[in-house]
Amino acid sequence: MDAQTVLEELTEDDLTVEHVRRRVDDWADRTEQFYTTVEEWLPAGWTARRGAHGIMNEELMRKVGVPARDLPTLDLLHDGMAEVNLRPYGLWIIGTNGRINLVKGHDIYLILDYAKTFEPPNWHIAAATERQTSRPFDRGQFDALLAA
Amino acid sequence: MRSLPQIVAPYEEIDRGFDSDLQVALTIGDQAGAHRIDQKQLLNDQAYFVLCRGQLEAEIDEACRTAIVRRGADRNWEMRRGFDFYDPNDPRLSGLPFDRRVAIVLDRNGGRGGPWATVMSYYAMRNKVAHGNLVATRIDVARVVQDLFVIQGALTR
Repeated sequence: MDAQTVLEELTEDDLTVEHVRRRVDDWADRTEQFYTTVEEWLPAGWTARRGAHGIMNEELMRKVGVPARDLPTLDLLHDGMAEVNLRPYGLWIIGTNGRINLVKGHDIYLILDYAKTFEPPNWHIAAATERQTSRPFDRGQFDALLAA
Repeated sequence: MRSLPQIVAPYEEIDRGFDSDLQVALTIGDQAGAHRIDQKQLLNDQAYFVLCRGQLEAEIDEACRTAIVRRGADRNWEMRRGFDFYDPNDPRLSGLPFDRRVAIVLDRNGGRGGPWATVMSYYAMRNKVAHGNLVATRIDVARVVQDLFVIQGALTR
């Protein structure tokens, strides 16, 4: 049975190359699906474009020999001006199943997946200034964030 | 566990500062600077993780003491047996290694992802860090603290 949390993955001894490879593929899929959802929610006047790629090369990948991987960022533009940037921050974070950073101006938001490994994502959002009060990331939260 | 909020507050303040610095570094394309900040965040996470988990260990010890006192005082030998081996007033609960203290207050057969298994996973992570094997993985300390409170609620005295 697969480890259900990052904590389990990091404290059990039976991690395989195949498992880590599947996790990386799954993370790439989840971030892509997240971007698609965000693009579908964009109100009038907003557009999206894939930004510069970031390199995913986390410790577990290096440990078992899974090659580094490019993951795209996403810029959200308002009237043609980039106002929001989404960047995959990391997959293996104890306590979450991956984090995407959302930056709007000087404000940083953490988009956190609280699902167990290989389960459908359970995205939450927390302002970097109020991490203890994360809320489910839904269309209402997203609209409020863009309007702020 | 009463000290957890006081421990988490400065952690979040420090990490927030690192996040801001990291964002600046990424914006200007300073990869070396971003890497240095990453390393500081990893160390900061682990230091505060050990502090936070220590609060849970103290709570487990206290719950274990209470269970020993309660069961040791039971008039029914079926309930009392075995518990009079241990001195609840011994500050180190000598004779009871950590995994057994946990097993007195949480069900070892609670399954994968259950409170007992989670405590032991955190214990393994703590041992790595405290014995010098730093991990290159971020820790969402706010989320871990929520987890610790859930475990606290499951402790059976």
